[in-house]
Amino acid sequence: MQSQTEKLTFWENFQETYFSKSRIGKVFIYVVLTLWSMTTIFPLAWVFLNSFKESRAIITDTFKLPTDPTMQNYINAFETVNIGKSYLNSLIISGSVVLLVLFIGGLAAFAMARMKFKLRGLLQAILIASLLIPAFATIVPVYRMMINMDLVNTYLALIIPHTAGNLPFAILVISGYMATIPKELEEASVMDGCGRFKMFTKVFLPISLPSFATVGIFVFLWSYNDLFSSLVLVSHEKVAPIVVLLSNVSSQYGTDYGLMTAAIAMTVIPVLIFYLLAQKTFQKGATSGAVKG
Amino acid sequence: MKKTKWSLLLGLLFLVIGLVACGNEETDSSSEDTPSDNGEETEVEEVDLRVVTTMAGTDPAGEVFQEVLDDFENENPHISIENDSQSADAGTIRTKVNTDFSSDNEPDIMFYFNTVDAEGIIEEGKVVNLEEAEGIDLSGFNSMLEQQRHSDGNIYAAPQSGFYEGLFVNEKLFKEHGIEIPTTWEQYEKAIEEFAKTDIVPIAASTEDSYYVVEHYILAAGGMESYTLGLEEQDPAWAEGLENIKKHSDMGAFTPDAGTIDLALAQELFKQEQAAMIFEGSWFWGQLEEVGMGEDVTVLPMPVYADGGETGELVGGASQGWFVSTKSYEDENKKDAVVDLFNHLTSEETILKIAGATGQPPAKGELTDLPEYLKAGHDLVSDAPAVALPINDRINPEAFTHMRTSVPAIISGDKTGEEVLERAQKMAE
Amino acid sequence: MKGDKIYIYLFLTPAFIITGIFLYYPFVENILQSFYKTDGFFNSTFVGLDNYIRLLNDEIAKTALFNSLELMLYVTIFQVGIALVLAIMVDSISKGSGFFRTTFFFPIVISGAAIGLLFTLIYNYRNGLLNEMLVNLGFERILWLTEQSSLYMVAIPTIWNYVGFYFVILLTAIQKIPNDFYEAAKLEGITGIQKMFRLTIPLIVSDLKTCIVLAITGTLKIFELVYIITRGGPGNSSEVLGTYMYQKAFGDTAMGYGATLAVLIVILGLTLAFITNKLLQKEEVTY
Repeated sequence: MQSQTEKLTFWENFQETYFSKSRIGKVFIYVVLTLWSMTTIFPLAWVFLNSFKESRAIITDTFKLPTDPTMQNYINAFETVNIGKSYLNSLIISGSVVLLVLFIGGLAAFAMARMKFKLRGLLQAILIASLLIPAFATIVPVYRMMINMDLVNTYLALIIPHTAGNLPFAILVISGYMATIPKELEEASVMDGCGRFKMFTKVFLPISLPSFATVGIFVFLWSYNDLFSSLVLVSHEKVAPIVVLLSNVSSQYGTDYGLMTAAIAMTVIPVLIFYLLAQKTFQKGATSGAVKG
Repeated sequence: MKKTKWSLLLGLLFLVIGLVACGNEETDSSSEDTPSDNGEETEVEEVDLRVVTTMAGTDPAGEVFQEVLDDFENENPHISIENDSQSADAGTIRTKVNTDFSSDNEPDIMFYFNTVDAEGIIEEGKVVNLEEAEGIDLSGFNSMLEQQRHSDGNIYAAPQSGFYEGLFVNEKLFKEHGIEIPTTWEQYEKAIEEFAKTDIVPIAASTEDSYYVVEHYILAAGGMESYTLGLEEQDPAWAEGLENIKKHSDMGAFTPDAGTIDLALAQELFKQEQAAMIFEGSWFWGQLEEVGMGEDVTVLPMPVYADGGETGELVGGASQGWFVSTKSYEDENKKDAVVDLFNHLTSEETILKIAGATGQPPAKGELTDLPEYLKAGHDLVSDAPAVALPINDRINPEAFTHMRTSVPAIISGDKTGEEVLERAQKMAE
Repeated sequence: MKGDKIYIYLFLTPAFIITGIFLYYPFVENILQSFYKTDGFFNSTFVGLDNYIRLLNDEIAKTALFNSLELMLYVTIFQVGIALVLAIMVDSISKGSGFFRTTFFFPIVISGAAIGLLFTLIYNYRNGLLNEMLVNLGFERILWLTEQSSLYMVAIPTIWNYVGFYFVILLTAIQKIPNDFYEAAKLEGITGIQKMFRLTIPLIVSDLKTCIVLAITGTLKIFELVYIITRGGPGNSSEVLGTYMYQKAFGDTAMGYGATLAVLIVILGLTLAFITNKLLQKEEVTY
């Protein structure tokens, strides 16, 4: 890294004096962060508060506190759908997707980021292209394949396409992260006589753990929230993930918003827990590795 | 422990595969899935059937339907049924059913749209002509059965219950404002005019999701004769109907945000008594009952002003029916079970049971103990001089989407009704 | 490194086999379908380039295309921009960073359907939050979703919804910068805003590039929020490629034309990602 010796511009001087060096700067940062967090807490609070209202009140008095809190939506949700079983289904499906994507994607990302080969540019382009393929465009052929392999309404029917669909994202993000890991580390491990595989598990994997955690969170989230493919591939109750059960919650008399908000509140909780756990992992990974935490 | 379980499963699997393969070379995926579920009660003649319907989840018919299936299974212990139902709102059922049929994975019996949606399936001969099918009982149906007759002269689907669409009016609001209930076109326009002067929205509607509005305005302008024509006829009454929507919009018939709200929000306007009228279908009663408005609301037929037309003509019918797939019917192992189940599902008892849950006019028999307002609706159907299915059930879907999503442009004056219809016709070709 | 070849195969093969079969092969089928007039199931007629010719003359597709591009511009600049600023800010504070990390993530965990409903209820003309406030303050109601405004009104929730996503990715990236770099910079008197432009950003360029590519590809596929809030209306004024394709392929069962739109989405996104890559290539820095 070259040292920077140019003169500071007026604007930079101004910033220095008023934001970074002074206490006002810190206060300013906290004000901005707090304001933003208010906008992000709002919808979650809205969902939770509304889940204690009657369906109609959600439309008519949506931004008021529940005057007459009711547990009815939760009772309905438990009565109409087998929540426990579908949580488990979701966990099995999305959990497997995350593990598969991280394992397969991690290896591929390592190769893409740290090895030089001819087709690298082309593969990169193919990966980006696959980020663009809408699920609507592939669902019919995928469903046909699942029928032919007799996998419809089994966990694999959703695990496989979700893994395929999320791999390009995982490879891109993880290889982006790995690309900037110092060369010295790689060279040092070569000196130590590490093979490529060992280099991956001993050096790159621990250092990149934060990006694995990040990718894991999003892959989990997308897989968990994907209603469209789930409805086609695993609609049967014994394997259906929670989103499918909840989509059935809308009655023929239009959507039951009360049930919907209660359902969202219940689906959000596991994801938040997963996020908090993953966050711990990536903080730990960052401090235990050779890089700054 | 685990090993024995697996080998047991495998054994059962082979047993079932063997059984199916004996009768017919075609194996069915459902028969291979089920051993894990019902493995214990394997009998020699066990039959597995898969049923796909739109009665799922908290749909009031969903629970009743599952009961009906359970009853059947109890009476016929050798038959197990996989209920693969999925709510139609989710929008994936068409894709699923079409892919199933085109990939040799069809359900044995399904309750599906007997509209333009089933066209491909019928043309490919994937479903049975019920009139010629041995053992299938089609007796006792009312006129809804005849409505199912396909353009090739055969009947492929047996109806469960019907629906009707009409002009739902909030009588209470009309009374409060001293406005006459609209039974003629003039009164209808007068009502729009009068309500536009108040804080009440005359008609709750989404002009983007304008299915019911488009249908009823065309019916009003052309009468049933014109309504049932195809797009290719380019009947001028259709354009006139679309132009009437603009005319009424200019009079203040809709809310300013009619172009972006959806049907649910339009319904909400009506339910909050902020709107006096709405075009809806008979399923809307369920929502009105939920908010305790049943007694205040009356459903009217669209006032028809066209020459040769008659007020009382209705949009409605039965757009869904029970289909039997050819593959299962021709499978000797399944045939009897499929026929039995079909007759069970279309028996008067079952039909009334399901219709009782939804309040819709049944295809067999009659519901008793109905509230006055529902009864009035059922009478509307039985007294109607003519009933025809919604336009979007029979014309090219792209063309109809173009028509309904162009309504905001017609209202803003960017397009004329004629232009829209010409374009729609081109799409249909 | 010597002997890499075998590892390259070993590491890449599983990933490309699984995506090949379950992602690329279905998409190739989709490309083939774009040469047919088909409902995707029973009725298929080969029509050559007809669908593409239709695309060229399709006014709505043009509107959707330009709307998508406009939306992409806002999303890329604001989503990634806001996320970057927030990430640097959170990185610079010591107290409460855990709280912000958690709360910023909230919008992403709630499904698009709920966020869509929330904003529908905020914008609604008669009972919406904004108009209720106006009426309470003694003003007239405003029609928030008009042909002129609808795209912006859709852009706001879209941007806001996914800032947390890029925030998490960028924060992860920033935290990998070795501490010594900052200490060295400190010795040379480089702090604050300067530090951000001269040190932090150059060091995370490759991650930023990933974010921009993700933003571009993500916006082209946007569907749910727009569909729920405006349905592409009024009068197609907020139609984007994602909603239009869904309408054609699933609403209207015109799978062939829908497939053509999918091809357009992929080609467009690829071109744009390629350009971004070229533009940012020179600035890449490694340690």
